[in-house]
Amino acid sequence: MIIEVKGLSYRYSDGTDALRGVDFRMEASESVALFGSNGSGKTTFLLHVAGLLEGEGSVRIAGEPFTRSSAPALREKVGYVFQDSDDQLFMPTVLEDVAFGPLHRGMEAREAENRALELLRQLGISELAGRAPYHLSAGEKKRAALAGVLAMQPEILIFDEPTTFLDPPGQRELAHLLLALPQAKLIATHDVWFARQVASRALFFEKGRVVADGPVDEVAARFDWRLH
Amino acid sequence: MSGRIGSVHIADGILSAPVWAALDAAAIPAIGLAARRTRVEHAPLLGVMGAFVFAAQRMNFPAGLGTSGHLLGGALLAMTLGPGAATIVLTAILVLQTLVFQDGGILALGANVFNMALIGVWAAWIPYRFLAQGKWKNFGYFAAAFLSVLASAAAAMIELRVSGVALNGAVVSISAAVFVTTAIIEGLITVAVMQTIEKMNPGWLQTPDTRPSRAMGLLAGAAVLLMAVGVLFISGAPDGLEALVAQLGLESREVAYFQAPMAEYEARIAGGDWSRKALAGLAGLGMIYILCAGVGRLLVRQRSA
Amino acid sequence: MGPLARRDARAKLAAALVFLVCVGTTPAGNYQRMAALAAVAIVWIAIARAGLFRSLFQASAILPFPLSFGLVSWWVSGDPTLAVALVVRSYLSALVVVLLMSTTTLADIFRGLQSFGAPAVLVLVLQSLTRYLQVVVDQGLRMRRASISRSGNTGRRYSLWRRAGGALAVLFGKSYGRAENVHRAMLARGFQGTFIALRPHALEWRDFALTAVAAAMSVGAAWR
Ligand SMILES: Nc1ncnc2c1ncn2[C@@H]1O[C@H](COP(=O)(O)OP(=O)(O)OP(=O)(O)O)[C@@H](O)[C@H]1O
Ligand SMILES: [Mg+2]
Repeated sequence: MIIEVKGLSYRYSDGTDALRGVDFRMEASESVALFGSNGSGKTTFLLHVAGLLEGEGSVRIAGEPFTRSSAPALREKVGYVFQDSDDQLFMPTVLEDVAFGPLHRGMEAREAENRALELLRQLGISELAGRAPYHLSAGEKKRAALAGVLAMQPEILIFDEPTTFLDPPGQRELAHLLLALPQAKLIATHDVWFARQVASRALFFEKGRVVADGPVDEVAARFDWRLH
Repeated sequence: MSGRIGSVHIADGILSAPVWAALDAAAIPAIGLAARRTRVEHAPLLGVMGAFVFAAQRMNFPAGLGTSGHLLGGALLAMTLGPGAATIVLTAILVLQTLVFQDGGILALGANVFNMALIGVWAAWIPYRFLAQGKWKNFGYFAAAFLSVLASAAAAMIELRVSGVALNGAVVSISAAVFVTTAIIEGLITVAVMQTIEKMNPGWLQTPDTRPSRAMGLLAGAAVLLMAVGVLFISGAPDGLEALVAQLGLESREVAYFQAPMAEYEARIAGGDWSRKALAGLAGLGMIYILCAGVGRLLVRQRSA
Repeated sequence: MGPLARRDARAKLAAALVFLVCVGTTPAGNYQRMAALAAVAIVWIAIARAGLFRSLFQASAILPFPLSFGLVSWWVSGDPTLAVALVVRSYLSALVVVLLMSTTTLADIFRGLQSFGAPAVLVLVLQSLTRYLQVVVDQGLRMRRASISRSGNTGRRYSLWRRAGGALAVLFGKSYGRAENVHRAMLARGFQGTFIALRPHALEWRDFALTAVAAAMSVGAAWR
């Protein structure tokens, strides 16, 4: 099991119960989509899987539970692509941003820069290296954010609503990009078409609980989870 | 980004050399201290809050007579982030305004930091500490914001006056009227914003560890107010500065150049030979730098030890 | 890109600082020295190919401040000498800041400040402030537009204030949430409390030469 979650509950400081006992297991070969209405707890759940929030219950990555001492090392195994790319691209230039992860894992500056340049090339955005993130298009931002995450060489990739702000061609390109990545993936999305492209299994969240778990089409059909 | 009437960003070339040098020398270690008490992982929060202040300055509040005011934000930052962090955020804002918007000078940065990021923050924090809890909270928000603006402006006026800019009662009265208006608007906006922030998440406000006390709060507020008004008065009274110095019996050589308009001071120091002065100025800057770097290193060593 | 754009920010900062000190110590009434320093500034704008008129125009943004206090001082004391000095010194200082900024990126300036000993926290705050300035300002403007289109820009003043205050508080909350996410994004990518920067450049001889020549010109111009 690459991810194993047991009895996970979380309450925000203002008293909102965002998760109420979530159980979940996932193999390294799987890709899982997360459905559920706004505020049902998808983002909160993903933050726990990445070790960025700490609730009751347990979260294990490749068998190892998150603890204060294990968290930094475990976080490196989980790459998190945030919903708003602006939150993720916090450095002054794209190159510095992509190199941030490797640098903070202790990589030499020269090496980190080379790794960053290589990833930008792989994702087809070499020309963005020296640009400031603010002026990029939504699609370019998403790619730059993904490059920064991939630079950490994670075993699991988490995407929180990756298609927001993307136009239809941008969504198709992103789906292709994700399919080509070998990592296990967790993807929160409201887009059934996109989920069907990149995942085989889906969870349905409701009020902080997982109320369905099965093939994407089945779960989507059961909750009538599509536009028309 | 201009139109900040009532909040004085002093440009370069206005203050006399001893004034800007002294205030740079005072501001640098103060910022160092504030930085030492600020955790690195809070940097994103402080940066985004700085951006919030810029955004807030774009939002107008109708002030009547067809005019409008906007939030300056010093007190709000002090009350939500705490005084040390507020000093860092306001310093960053001032640096950016100086470099990008030509709003304030580089040599005058020390003066602007001193006025807004130190005096402006502590003038708000001192009364707020005592009024943060209990029924007088709203009054506390208002007083903090009002005093923050007024004290900053008073500090700027006295610096200008000491630098030899001639001011008289009429000028200072008019300025004071503008400052007080700005301070009232700042107070009202701050109350409106803080009330909602408090409702949204009380965790966003600082809870000072001082015991709440209405009497202490009023006393502290009155003291700050008196000081600000006194400073404003001195900067406008004819020979007010000189009279004060005489009364305090401070007519020693150290204080002598405060009385002298700038040209006179400069003639006195170097007898018209400016090169020695420039060298002295540069040497002074160098010494400030070495001192601060040294103190900074010492502090860092102390912390990691 | 002019020749100054390639030089290290630290060299340019140091050169600018020397010039500012020379201007900042110029006594009122010393017009020779003001003229000489103005000449130095113009020479450097030309060397940098920064666009003379654009620079002169940009620097004039500073003028309202020295003009107002200069005029007041003139009116009160009857002597225009100081007024002229305030305006000239402010304007020359602003001119050099404009030149510095048109040949140096903010990111480089911040890195330069750090190697001059500015606290790391302050530099990080400057970086994230610059990074999120436009993002948050745009968010604020969008919210204001939405609020105006919903309820109009009219009503009793009291209710207008309540609404505007509420909108600002919401923006404050959103900024808080954004900062939390930025911090999470840093943690997710290995940040553990100390910040490591890319590429600490070595200074070249050209950088030293730039500072030396510029400083000599400023000091020379002021030597009268
Ligand atoms: N920082 C926070 N503080 C307080 N409550 C929060 C916070 N973040 C989320 N919540 C609340 O927790 C609940 C779950 O939110 P979460 O963001 O996990 O939902 P979501 O499924 O991702 O929704 P969406 O589809 O809108 O992204 C919601 O009720 C939300 O209002
Ligand atoms: Mg979400």
